[in-house]
Amino acid sequence: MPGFEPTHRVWQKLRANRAGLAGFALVSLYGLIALSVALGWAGQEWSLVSGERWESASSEHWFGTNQLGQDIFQRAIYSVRIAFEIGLLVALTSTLLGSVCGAISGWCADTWADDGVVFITGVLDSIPFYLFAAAVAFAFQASAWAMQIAMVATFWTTTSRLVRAEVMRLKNRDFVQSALAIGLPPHLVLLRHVLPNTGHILLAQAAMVFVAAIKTEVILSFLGLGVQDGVSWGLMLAESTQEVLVSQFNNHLAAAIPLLLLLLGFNLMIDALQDALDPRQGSA
Amino acid sequence: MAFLLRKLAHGLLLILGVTLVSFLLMVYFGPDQTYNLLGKNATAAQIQEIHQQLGYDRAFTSRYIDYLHDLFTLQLGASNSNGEKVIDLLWRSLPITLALMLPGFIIGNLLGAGLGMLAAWHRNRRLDRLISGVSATGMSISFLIIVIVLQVLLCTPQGLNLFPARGWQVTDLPSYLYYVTVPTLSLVFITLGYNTRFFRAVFVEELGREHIRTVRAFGASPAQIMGRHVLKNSLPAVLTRVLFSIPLVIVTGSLVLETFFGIPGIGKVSFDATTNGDQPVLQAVVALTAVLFVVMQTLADLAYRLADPRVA
Amino acid sequence: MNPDSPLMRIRELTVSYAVRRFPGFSQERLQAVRGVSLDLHSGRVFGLVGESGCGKTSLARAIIRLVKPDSGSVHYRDFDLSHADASRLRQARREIQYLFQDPLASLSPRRSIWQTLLEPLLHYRIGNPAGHRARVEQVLEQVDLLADILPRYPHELSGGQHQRVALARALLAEPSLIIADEPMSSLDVSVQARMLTLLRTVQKENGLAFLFISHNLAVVQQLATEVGVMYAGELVECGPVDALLHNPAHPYTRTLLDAVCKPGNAELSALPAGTPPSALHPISGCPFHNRCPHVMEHCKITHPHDNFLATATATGGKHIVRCHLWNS
Ligand SMILES: Nc1ncnc2c1ncn2[C@@H]1O[C@H](COP(=O)(O)OP(=O)(O)OP(=O)(O)O)[C@@H](O)[C@H]1O
Ligand SMILES: [Mg+2]
Repeated sequence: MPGFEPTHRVWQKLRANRAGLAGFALVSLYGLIALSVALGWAGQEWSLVSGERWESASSEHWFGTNQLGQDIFQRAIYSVRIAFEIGLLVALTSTLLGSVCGAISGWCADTWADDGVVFITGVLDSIPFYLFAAAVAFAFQASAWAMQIAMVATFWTTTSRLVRAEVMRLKNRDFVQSALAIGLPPHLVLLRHVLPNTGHILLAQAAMVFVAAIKTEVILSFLGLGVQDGVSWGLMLAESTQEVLVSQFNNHLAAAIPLLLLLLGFNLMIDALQDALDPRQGSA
Repeated sequence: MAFLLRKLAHGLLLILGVTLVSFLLMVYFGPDQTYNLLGKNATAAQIQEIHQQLGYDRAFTSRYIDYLHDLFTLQLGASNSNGEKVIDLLWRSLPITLALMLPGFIIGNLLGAGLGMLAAWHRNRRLDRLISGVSATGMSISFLIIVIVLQVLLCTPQGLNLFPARGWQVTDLPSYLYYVTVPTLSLVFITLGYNTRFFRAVFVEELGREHIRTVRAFGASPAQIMGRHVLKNSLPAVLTRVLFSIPLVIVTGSLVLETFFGIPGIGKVSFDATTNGDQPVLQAVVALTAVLFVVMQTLADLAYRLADPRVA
Repeated sequence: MNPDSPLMRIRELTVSYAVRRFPGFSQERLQAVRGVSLDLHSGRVFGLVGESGCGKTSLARAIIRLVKPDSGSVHYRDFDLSHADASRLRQARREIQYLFQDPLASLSPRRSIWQTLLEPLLHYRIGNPAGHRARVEQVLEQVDLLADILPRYPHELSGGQHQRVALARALLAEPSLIIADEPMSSLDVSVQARMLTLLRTVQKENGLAFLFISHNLAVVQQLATEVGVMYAGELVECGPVDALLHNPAHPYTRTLLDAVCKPGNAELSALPAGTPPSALHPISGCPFHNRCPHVMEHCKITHPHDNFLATATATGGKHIVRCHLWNS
């Protein structure tokens, strides 16, 4: 049956994809680091001035220190937590918003509710993201949440559009009609019979938003529109733009390499996920 | 005809939408401009006058209509920071941005198309794996890292020190090349992963079609197949993407590149406006880019329709 | 209730769909069902036949309010479905079950057979949870299925099994009327015959009323006690199966039967020349006049009304035809 890949086949394909597994392992490792920072087990001394300016790597400061004499390793580790916080918050919120709006819009296709959602997504998609982020930052002057608001407001539209198309397709399927025929109220039909079949879209889309959020944070923080106080890979890279000019690369590498590995892991994972969920492909 | 009207109506609605969003964010709910303009110790009368000027005492709709009127007659006001008229500022910086971004944009797309074609032709073989792997890695590297690395390698005494690290003093072709090379390389590297992936997907789809497989079985040369069949058929998809990505790549790219290399284009102007809270400039850039994007989108839709009558 | 009074009375039911040209602009209406009236009785099978696109599915869906009819009424037992309160409607929905054309498509792909079969029991609060398993197994036996399919998922079953599961799900709701919309058209012929026997047994055993929609006159003939013929959204003729098949009154029914009588033509494929009028742009007068061999001048202008034929049959059913030829 087109469009529905049985769950056990999906697992089979996922397990056979070695690159995907490696990506998954990498992302899990980062997840553990983020968790241990959040629980207070590591990376707590990111703001402490514990050494001289630009000390080189030593057993005390694994990655050396930055311009202010803060331990770069601690900062890099703490940034994992920040990245996960932003990624998770933005991915969950925009997936939730996108799936709810997309589901309503697809379910009520061709009504004013649908027209409204489609119009709003069209408008938001027409404003280039970084300018939108600048406008939001301007409107919510210096609010710590401006970045997250801008990201969610932009990223939910793709999810919404995909979910809308899928719900419109599913709505006329007989199994949905038969659930309606027994008199199940629409919200239960959506929840029990329609949305479970959009799970693959939501999963892949959430992962992509996660990646986009982490990458965007870096740019926004560099532009001064991102993380306001604290530390993040973006802020570390922004600091390092001055440092690399005087041959101090520790800060740059300590942010660039973990960021690269995390994004690589995520991209591999997403590719594997999409391959596995694509029913047109034979089993791997 | 109905299609044309529908697309135009749709475009107009979208323009209303995007201008409304920028009006709401930056004018209506935006921060109070009074003290920005008058300084801390203004008199009550001055405050009243400026409120009237800014329209703070009027109703929402009349302010929005005024805003639209000003926007479309390009009465964009003057910059808060140096008093230059916004329209002059934009006219001065737009050519710089175009000169800065276009070479990288074009080379990035051509190179992406070439690599995508190679990968698609050798689908699932080693070359494809290599190209796909490299482009996945490319997509995983943050813009900022690419820019920093290229700057260190090419523009500083630690590296080759061939090009300037910052600035834009273009007078003739050699000076243009001198300043444009590193930003162009950066843009190419930034977009290459995405472009390669996109073109590969399009060409794989096209090569998988029945008639192409037939032609291939008859032993037509790769150049013939690619040129005569694949490229021609995938043109609409490619054009759409290129048209759509112009505003996004140019805006995003110029924001980062111009800030980083200190080049006075639109991106630098918007960045400065953001950091200084220069509302007239930022507001004009956001609204005009969004309107431009909608116009491009509508044109692309119409062109698509003209090229392919099957599309409803 | 009077045993002769119908279980369901459908009067002048009209269904149309809004067809939107583009968002925010005017709508056109596509007339799928026009003024259909018919009665369904306990223990009897009403067979509904007609060409593809004539509105059979729309009629069936309007009966259970999957689409909202424009006008007309549906009375189930002694209440009006269009004005029923929530609890009444729930009860009616339980008693009226629907079998879909494509049984696989009617089973939720990510729910096990057990979850699917449990849904009506839970939703209608039938029996106590302790007894659900036994009840499900009992019904599975009725439809010739083994309990070992319960943990499986729809895509792991065969076509015949899908339709049996769908039937079991319907029976679990303890219905008194089953609406079956071409329930066998997606099955292959050998499976069709077994399914037909099963449907008949189930119908007899439970004394159910059936609205049986089909392309296949032969099947209808075997199962139905009454037959209705639809054309372009209208019920042009209906009556007891013998009367209708042996003394067809409407020219359309006659051409249908002629087509079927030719060897190798059990399906309604060999149809009279011409095409039915478009549902979006109906023609004036009788909808069949452009194809009718007996067309008269006023057929093109006035719409025919229902005529009752005197040739009543043994079962006592009424034979009704919507045609000017029979105006008295
Ligand atoms: N949801 C809908 N929206 C718009 N038009 C519809 C819709 N469903 C059906 N129609 C139209 O209504 C008419 C009747 O369709 P219906 O499905 O009731 O026919 P049918 O007799 O069941 O045909 P078949 O034998 O092919 O199943 C057709 O012209 C069809 O195109
Ligand atoms: Mg049908």
